[in-house]
Amino acid sequence: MGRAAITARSRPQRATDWLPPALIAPAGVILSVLLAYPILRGIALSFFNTRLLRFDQGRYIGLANYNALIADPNFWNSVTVTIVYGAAVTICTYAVGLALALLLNRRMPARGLLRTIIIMPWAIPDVVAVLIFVWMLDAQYGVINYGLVEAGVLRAPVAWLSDADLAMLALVMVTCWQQFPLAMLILLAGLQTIPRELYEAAMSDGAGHWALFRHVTWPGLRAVNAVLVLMLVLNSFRRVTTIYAMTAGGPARATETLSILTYNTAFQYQQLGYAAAIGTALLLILLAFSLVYMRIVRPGAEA
Amino acid sequence: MRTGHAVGAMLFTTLCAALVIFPYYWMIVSSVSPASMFEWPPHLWPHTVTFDAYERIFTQRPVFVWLRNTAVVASCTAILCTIVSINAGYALSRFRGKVPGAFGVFVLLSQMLPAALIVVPLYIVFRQLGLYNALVGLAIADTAFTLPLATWLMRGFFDRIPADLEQQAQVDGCGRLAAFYRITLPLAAPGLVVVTVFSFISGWDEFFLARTLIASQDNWVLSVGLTSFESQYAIAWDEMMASSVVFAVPVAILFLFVQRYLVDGMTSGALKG
Repeated sequence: MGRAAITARSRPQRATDWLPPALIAPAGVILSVLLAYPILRGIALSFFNTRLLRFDQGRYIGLANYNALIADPNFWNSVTVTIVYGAAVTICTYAVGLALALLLNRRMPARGLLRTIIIMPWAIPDVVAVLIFVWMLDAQYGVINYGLVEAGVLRAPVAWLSDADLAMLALVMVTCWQQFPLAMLILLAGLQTIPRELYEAAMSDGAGHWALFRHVTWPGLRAVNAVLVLMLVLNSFRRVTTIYAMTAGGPARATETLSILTYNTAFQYQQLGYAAAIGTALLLILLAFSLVYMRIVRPGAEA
Repeated sequence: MRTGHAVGAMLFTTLCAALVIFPYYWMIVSSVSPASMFEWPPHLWPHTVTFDAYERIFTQRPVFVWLRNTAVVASCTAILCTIVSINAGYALSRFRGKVPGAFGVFVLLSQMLPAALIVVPLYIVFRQLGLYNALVGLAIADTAFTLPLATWLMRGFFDRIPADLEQQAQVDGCGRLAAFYRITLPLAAPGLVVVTVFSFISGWDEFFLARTLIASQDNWVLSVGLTSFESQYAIAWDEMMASSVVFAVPVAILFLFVQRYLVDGMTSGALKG
């Protein structure tokens, strides 16, 4: 009996093994029905002129939605807004995350407590982060206007969310506030994988702070950077809750990213088919960006 | 000299931390100082503390109903997500071959899909299946969006438990499934708690699906209800901030306990492949 068990175990599992598929099946069904199928159906929907109130009565119209898309100035506006928002959020989040990771990587009293306080913004629900900032940015009673006027940056309080550029700035500010802790924690984990000996060797060669950062820290973070930047860009392209709750794409489409344009087209302008075409364009942009990025950066090359 | 540096670094970090945490502080201050709220310049600390706003949100606003709905959705999401991700995570951790391999790629890819495209057809599917405007339907949708990371987290926890124990149990005549549920799963209990808490929080915080898939105000969750506090004349900021405290602070504290596992889970998929 013991012998039989051992031979059974040493034999490689055959394709007819029922256990792995059975364990995976529930998750596979949920992800297929609620993520994969909607994506495929969304792509299919982009060839129909379906409307919200009669969602079961769409007619096949070929590439008409895509032809309309290419001629639609709102679509191209959203492409620009998405790129501006994505770039600004990625740069700000990364910069703040890196600065605080370098700071918290030093030895200091109460480091654990400070680290916990600094990651608190990540713990807050998106909607609440937005509400707090909308209140802090209030044109009449907002504490941010107060601080900026006191500091001499502004002469008088401004209406952040009714000005196109300021609304984008406010949005980047909230997103960055919420996202930098994740960037910081990932970078902190990356910093801790850099061997101490490398720093000691460089220091004994007389390297200064900047040289240490440039020749030891920065190369050491290469693999982490590659993954983190891709994650930040993709997340900002896909982000919906923060933008929708804060500006819903306004004022005058100044913050209407492709994700928000997709949603507004479907549920405000009630054009499901056209919305699906915009969403499909977004999907293609995400895929193309990821593929090009991986070609250039090769995140796995050193890991 | 070195201790001087450390103290200097600490003071500077403390300043950064104060700036970072200020929005939390302002949320709490604004929720307890309604009288001094609409004043210029704003008072950085409250002159009078009152819990009127908290009383009003529970008596004059349907916050209690929304809170209950949120709890229902978050609990269902947590239960469903945990049960499903335990099995899938175990399969990803222990088995190689076509099915687990393809599933692993599928899980990673599904984390990259744009939610804005998914909800358009999902809305149609939910209308057709009768899941539209139902809390259970929302919990199922939340589960689907939470499942990829939950599965990946669970896989990571199983990876850290040696397979020898369950193989020993199998040699002793225990079935493979029994070995998993009776030997390995109890050892993965901390991971189980982390995944349950994580999926509870994502169900609790979720806004976008709730906004799209729930229609009637009786079925709203708190994240959707919160954004509706605008009256014709002014936004009731004290009530909004009081509801935000009730909604956000308990789960934020819960979140701090699981956050470090999330970082591992998010990066391991991409870094280790």
